[in-house]
Amino acid sequence: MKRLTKYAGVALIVLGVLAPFIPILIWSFARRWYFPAVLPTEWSIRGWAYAFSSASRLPQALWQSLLISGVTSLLSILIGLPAGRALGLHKFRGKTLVEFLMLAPTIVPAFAVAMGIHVVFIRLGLADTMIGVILVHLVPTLPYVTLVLAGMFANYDVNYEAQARSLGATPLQTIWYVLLPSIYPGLIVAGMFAFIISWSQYILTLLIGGGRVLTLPLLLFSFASSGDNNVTAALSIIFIAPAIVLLIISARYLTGRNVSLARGN
Amino acid sequence: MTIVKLTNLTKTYPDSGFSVENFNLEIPAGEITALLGPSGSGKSTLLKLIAGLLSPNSGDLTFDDVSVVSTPAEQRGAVMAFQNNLVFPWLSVGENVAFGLKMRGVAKATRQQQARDILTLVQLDGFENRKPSELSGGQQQRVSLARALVTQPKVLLLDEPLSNLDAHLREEMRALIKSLQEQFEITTVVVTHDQEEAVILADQIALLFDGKLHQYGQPSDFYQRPVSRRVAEFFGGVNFIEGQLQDTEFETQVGQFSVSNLKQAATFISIRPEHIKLAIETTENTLEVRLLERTFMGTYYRYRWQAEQAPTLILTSTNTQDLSIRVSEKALLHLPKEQLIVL
Repeated sequence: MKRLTKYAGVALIVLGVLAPFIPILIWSFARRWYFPAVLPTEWSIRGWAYAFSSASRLPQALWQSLLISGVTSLLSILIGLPAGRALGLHKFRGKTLVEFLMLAPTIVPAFAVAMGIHVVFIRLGLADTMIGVILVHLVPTLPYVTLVLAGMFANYDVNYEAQARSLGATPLQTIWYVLLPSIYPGLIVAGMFAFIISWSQYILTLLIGGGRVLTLPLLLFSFASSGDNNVTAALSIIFIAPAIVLLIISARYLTGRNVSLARGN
Repeated sequence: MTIVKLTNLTKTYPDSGFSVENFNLEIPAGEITALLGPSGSGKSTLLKLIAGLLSPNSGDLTFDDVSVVSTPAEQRGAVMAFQNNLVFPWLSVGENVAFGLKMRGVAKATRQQQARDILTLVQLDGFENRKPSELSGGQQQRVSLARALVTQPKVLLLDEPLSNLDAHLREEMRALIKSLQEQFEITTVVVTHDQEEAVILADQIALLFDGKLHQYGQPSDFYQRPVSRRVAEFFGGVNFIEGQLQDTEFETQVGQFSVSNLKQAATFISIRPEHIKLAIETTENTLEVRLLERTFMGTYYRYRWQAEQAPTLILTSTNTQDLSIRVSEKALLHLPKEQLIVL
């Protein structure tokens, strides 16, 4: 009985999370779906067929989205790791100010930031380029990555590194065998944050990319504004997919890992 | 076996007051030397300097007359075992012990075998697949020791190796460290703030105060020949009588005492509690006192006496037998000449 209620509870949560996607899923297969019909009166795979046809530019958008989000996550971690380490481990003068400035991009509207950056990027020749888009995506991703890693470092004992060095590890080996295993859950979380934030950027990509850099959200918006519900729904599902995949990966890897870490401490 | 020599070694921290300046010490090969001192005395700084985890501002550090100042920690052959064990929680016990070998590129099968062998030596055979979190504090300490020893270091550096252990584990660990150190004949440096830990572990002790070497010698020297009142107090000295030397006698407010050491600038004489005896009649080096307090300490009795001529002077003596004197009764104490330390 108790088990049954537990399963019912889980089912309810899953339904609650998935419910908003059901209409989108149905729309992607619908030809005619008008009020008051509960389900479409005619079905079709036109939306999917069009999405995957060369006319939709989906492959280009998908590839550029993956590339931009992937590189953005990687850069965010490369920059956020030392920053998070400094904030998490050290006390220094002006730390609160630095923390505030780190957080500022999450408070200031992205549009305002992007307008200013755009002017600079035009001068630098970075406007309308993929590198420019990646750089501007770092503005919203870095605060999250840095703060997640700073939290990770707050519970990190640097003496482990000294111990490793003393046992014969080179500085690089220390990073690989001590630092990374210690903060690995934080790295995954931070990387996923960065990926999802970059993945769902619209305004920043549009402004800096100037329409030349085509990502999935840009493609999605163009179909949504044209009123083609079938294609929009199909693209939406493709757009959501990585978020769900990342969620499943994180659930699988992080929970078990965190439990063992907590026990270790 | 390696002789470690510190020559004019200086390490200063601009922000905090802690520093070690112009430190000189020769650490003998194949023996245990304790760096003893209160917190802030610079003993941990010295240990990290020897380990290569800190670089000195100036001065030289040699292992067998070869300077290692510019040798990075991982190539120095001086392995440090930290105070709180720092067993890597993400690795198994076996992987922890084999860590140093892995970093040196030792093949997997070889390093696993060596890890198993050394775990047997620290009485943890069969533990290689356990997680560190499954071990007790004492077991983790032994893993930490095994992990350091398996790399066959020239110099073994131990940071407070007994301080986190309770009484019976302390004795076990002390015996283990001693026997392993003798077996491997490693020059060992132990850092501790606990004089008892230093005395029971070390062949010689370097006592540090405020970043300076205060006294160096065998453990018994610190009881029998402390160089200052501060040293005597650090080693549990409680009896100090103020005065000055007049010819061959030490003149105090409670009378004259014959002393064997004629140190001209002396301002105190001291005696350890166990050396104070009862006297039957007034002779040389006796003192009239009244019993203030008698405490049974488990294996001995502790007496606190007040001098008749100077009520502010309190002396403490210990005796394995009950002296059958009641509180506030008078007695005569004898402070044997050969036991009196002139400071």
